[in-house]
Amino acid sequence: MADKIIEINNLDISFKTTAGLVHAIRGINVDLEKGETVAIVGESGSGKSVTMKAAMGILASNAVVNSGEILFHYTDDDGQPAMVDILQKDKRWIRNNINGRRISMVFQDPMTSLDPTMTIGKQIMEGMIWHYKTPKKEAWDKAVGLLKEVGIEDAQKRMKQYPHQLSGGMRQRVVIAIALACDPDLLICDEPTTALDVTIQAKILELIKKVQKERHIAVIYITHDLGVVATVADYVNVMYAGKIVEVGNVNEIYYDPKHPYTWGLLSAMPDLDTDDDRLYTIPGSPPNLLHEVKGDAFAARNKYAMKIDDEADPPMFQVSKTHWAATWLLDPRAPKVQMPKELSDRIERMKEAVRSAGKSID
Amino acid sequence: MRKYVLKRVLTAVFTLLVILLVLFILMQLMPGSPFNDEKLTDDQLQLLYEKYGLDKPIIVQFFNYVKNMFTGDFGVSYKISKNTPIAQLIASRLPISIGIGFMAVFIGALIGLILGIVAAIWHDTILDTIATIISVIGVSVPSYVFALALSFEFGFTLGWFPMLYSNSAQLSSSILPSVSLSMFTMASIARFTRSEMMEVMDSEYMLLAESKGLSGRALILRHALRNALIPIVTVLAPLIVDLMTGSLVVEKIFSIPGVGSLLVNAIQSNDYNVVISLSFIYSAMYIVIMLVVDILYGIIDPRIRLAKEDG
Repeated sequence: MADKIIEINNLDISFKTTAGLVHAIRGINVDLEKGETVAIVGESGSGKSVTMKAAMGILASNAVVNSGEILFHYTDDDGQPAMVDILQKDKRWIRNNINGRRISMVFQDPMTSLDPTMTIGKQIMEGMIWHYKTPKKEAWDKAVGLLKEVGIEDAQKRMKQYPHQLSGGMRQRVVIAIALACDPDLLICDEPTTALDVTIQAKILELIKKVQKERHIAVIYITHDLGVVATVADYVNVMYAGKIVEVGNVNEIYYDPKHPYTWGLLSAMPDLDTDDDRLYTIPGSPPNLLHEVKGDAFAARNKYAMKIDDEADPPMFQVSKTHWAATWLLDPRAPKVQMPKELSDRIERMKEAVRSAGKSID
Repeated sequence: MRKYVLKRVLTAVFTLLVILLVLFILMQLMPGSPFNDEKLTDDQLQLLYEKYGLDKPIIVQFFNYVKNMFTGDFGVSYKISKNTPIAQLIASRLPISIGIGFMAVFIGALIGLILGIVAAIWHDTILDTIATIISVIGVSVPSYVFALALSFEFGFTLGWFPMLYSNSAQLSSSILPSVSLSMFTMASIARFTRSEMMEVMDSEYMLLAESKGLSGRALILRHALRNALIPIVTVLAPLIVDLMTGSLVVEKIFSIPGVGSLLVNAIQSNDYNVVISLSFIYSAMYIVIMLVVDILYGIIDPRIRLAKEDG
């Protein structure tokens, strides 16, 4: 077994709301190895962020963990390898040992995720001073170094500035610098580019990639943007209504998707190389998790749904060593259904483009 | 920043002059004169008017008053304390009102902040409910009811504090009136702090700070409180002025020789100069406190401070 960093097993979370119990996460599994990148893709409300907040121990107070474990592998203070189930630890332990130190998070909107009344420098130094009692001078120098690492010029000057004096892209760089302040092993990026200009998006992704490579850390992306996933991820988890419906490496998900929901997501990506002037959307909306879902949660929106989909939730069918999908279409008894013609054409075009760029697709 | 303050001060001076003019016109509209005595003949009245310059046109009176004001002369009292210079009359009373008011603001703001923070951190728990009940009582029950209740309980029954204000025991005899005056401020600040804190604690930057691994206390003190304080400072300002200018009824209950009762007496007896000077001082205090709040704002909120430096 390679060096695992985090294993989320059978995680199941509900939220107590005034309307009743919302079953937001319905048994999910995510594995990640050191230095790798995994993306969790899904619509808003599919439970992507909740999963990551659980890993950070910062779930909202009305969340109830029904079952599951989040195993985190790390090196303890004595330099010994250790493993812990984050869900079994109390908040204080997570705060002192995990948050910011070993797992840090990059948030979605840099316009709101920095404290407007604190200087950039103080916000970067805060974590180091908190966890390691780093002397002020040393923390300052390290923070300046971090700012340079994330590509901010005039680092000395920026240290004394406030968030509102920086542009959105710069702020996101600062958020990344904050996340890196305590040299974490795992970086969770929650829609890191959604709130940014398109021109800045690519630069921020490049930055995260560069940092990951240099520091050899693992990264989890939470996103609904398949374009982002294609450029950064090694593995992709497609999430729908609190469940992972398809998982595979990035080529498998893009070139050989098996789940109708993944087909829908891929078809819904804007594409310039088509004569079709309509943008595809997946019909309907995700189910309300306030009510227990019977059968496959995607069935109501799935034009390939079969009778069984209304009765039983499909298990994960194995497609290849790394590729799994939860759809009854993969059952040997199911009729042979191919992905929509438009999508297969499109995948062919994508493959062609990659080939002509001289890259391998396996 | 300096340019900004200078601009604000000049505006304030101009505002005060306008207020003074309005006060003069209002005085003219008041029925009667300071010398409403049936025994005075018309000739005697005329003599009195001439003596105090009240026979001149209003605009001349106004400019004379402004001119005298710059030399610290606010005129004399016509009625309440005959021929005593206003400055002297107020000088003995204003500090008492301000002292009690300051104490009330301090008590109210401090307890209000604590209540609000507690209610926000443990929102929807019993602590929140208790804080809300205290706030509702504080806002809805008038200060003189508290004054009477406190005076009876702690002054009369228990005898812990003097029931009446006395110059020989200023601090202990100020406590009951200050506490009764502070209830409204405390309640308003508590409610406002609660809602501001809740909003701030819900923000993304609190989540980011939390994800750094900070403890609850560090989160509240370093990140939440400072951001929540910005709007709180704004509501505090008018409350401060309200309290500093004295409360008539509470002053009566504790027989405090403050300015609240002086103003009411002066209005009833048409003592022009006293009314004008007191109203003027109230306005000036208000403007000064607003100015201070504005500057304070800049200290708390870098966005405002830096914008001012640029402008």
